[in-house]
Amino acid sequence: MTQEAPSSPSATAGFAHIERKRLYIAIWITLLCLTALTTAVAYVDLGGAWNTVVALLIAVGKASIVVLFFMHVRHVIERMIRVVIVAAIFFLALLIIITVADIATRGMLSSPHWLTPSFFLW
Amino acid sequence: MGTGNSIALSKPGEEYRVHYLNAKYGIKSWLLTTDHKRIAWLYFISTSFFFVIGGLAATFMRLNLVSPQGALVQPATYNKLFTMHGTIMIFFFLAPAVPTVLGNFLIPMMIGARDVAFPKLNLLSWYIFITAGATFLWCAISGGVATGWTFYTPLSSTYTNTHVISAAMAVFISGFSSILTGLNFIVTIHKMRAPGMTWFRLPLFIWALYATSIIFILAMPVIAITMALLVVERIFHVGIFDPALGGDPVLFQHLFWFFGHPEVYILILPSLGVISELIAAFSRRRVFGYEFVAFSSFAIAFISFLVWGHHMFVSGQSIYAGIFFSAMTMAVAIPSAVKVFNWIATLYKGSVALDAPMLYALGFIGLFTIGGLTGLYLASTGLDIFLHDTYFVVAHFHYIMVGGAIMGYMGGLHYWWPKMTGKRYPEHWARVAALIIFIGFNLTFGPQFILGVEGMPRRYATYPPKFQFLNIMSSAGASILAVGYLLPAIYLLWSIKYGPAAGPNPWGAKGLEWTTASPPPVHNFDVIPIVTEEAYAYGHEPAVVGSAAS
Ligand SMILES: [Cu+2]
Repeated sequence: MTQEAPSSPSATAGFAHIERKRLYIAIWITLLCLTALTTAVAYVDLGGAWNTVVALLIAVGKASIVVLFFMHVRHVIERMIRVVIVAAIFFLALLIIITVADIATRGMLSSPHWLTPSFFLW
Repeated sequence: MGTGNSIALSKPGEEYRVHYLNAKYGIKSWLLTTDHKRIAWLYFISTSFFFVIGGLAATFMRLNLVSPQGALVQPATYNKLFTMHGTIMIFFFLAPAVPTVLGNFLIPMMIGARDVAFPKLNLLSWYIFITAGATFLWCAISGGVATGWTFYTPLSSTYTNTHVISAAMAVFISGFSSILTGLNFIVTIHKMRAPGMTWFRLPLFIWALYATSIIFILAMPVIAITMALLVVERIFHVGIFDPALGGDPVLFQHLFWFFGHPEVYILILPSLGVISELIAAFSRRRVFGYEFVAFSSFAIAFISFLVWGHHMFVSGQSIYAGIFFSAMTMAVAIPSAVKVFNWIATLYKGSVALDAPMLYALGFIGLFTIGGLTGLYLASTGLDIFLHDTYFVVAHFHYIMVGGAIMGYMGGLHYWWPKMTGKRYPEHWARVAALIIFIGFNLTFGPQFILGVEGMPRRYATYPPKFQFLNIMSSAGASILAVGYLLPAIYLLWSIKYGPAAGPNPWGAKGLEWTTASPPPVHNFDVIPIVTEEAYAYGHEPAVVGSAAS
């Protein structure tokens, strides 16, 4: 809506606009490179869990770039918007942490022996 | 009601007054409107349509269950029927109903604004909703889907050959409609309040919708991405949920219920807000413990994101996760009880009027309490192993969804109907209908608690003959319930044409929406009101100075 407002797009504003365009293209190319890297790494066996760790690290890096630049979070100073960002990350963390906690403790089916009645009843 | 008098007085004035319904005519003036009040009507018509479709699916199910062998349809068809019933009722009726019909109409009216913050976005939300609904109808027509509304993997990703992809896409699309609505409401409540309308003067309905909007924004993206992942796995065989491809089927349940449980509160929180309004208006008292009722909505919203694993006690989930989710689920009882006890305290020594909206509100309190308390049975890990996937669960969540959410919606619809249409509905018929719905509801779902305890599993087209009596009782109750829903459909429509004029404030209630004419002018208020009083200031001078009431 406001993009085409012809009121006073001053010289500096136009310059900033071009600057931003260049930045966005640079970020886009970076994202493409990281995607290529993910694909390339997928063909190399890094051994055990490292395959996942590396893939996730690249993914988090890409997500951060998108959030910081494309979603303008890098420049946010308004408090309310910061609250929103932190809340979003918090709830995403809840989803991931509790889900991973389930998977990590799924195998622990029996109580440790010092918690069983037989430990006290010997 | 003094009809003769008011008609004699109002005829010349009422006929020529311009309001939001007669300001413009023609199909285009409705389909391209950005007026929040007209968009509320668009939603009212479309969600009512889906309610009828979802209700028809339920009708066929109940008819089928009259006989142990299945009286009507093949088991495969039965699977499609309950999937259609669940998906339509949850995504296309219950989730949007109160927020997008009553919320859209009332949020600007209640906070003293001329519209929502983003009127065009509001209309876009409706078009996205319609696209999603059409996608699901297309799925149903092209053969339907038989996974249940929960789309569990690996059934949905690998084994079923029904139309999972179009159904999943419908749910995916509907999520965006809800996200935009939530965003719109939050910004509206933050930025558009009239002068003097401080946070703690907001009606409790607004607080409830604010909490609901937060859940919309946090939960809907998760279901959208989960449905997208399901589609990707089904089409491209990327291993996400299928163990044969290296995926984890329980991961699907985690993602689904991270959305799914907060979704339950998307359905019930707006109705909780409606009930607060009704209890205050019909007992002529300020809601007891206003702040506690307001914040309990947020407590419910927050805790709702920490309980999702109570749907997964028998999924192979870690027992430690089970303990955590069980404890958190018990904790939800606290803010829910805060609301119920505060409503009862509001009734105490109030001058209670038993008009139809209040009958719904009182019915709500009882049924919601039964639904909530049976939820605690299911939150106990040991007991849930016995009750899981039985009719006890079906009865429990219908007490919350139908006995709670729909009762609240019906009560609110009757309460604000004079404001939306400018006409009064026939009060005695409405009371009779409310009573029929209450009786029919309990007859339908009460027996299902017993069926569940006796071990009848849900989602089967057939059952052992010993369950027949209670099933027939349930089906008979459903037919009474259907009559109860048919009555309001008839007399509410009748009242639009033949009902007596309502006047600005037929209930003598407090709140900015009652200070303006019925139906409201195009921009709600001739003069933006200045608020000088708390919400529900009954027994004091008028709540508003400076508004031009009609
Ligand atoms: Cu739940």
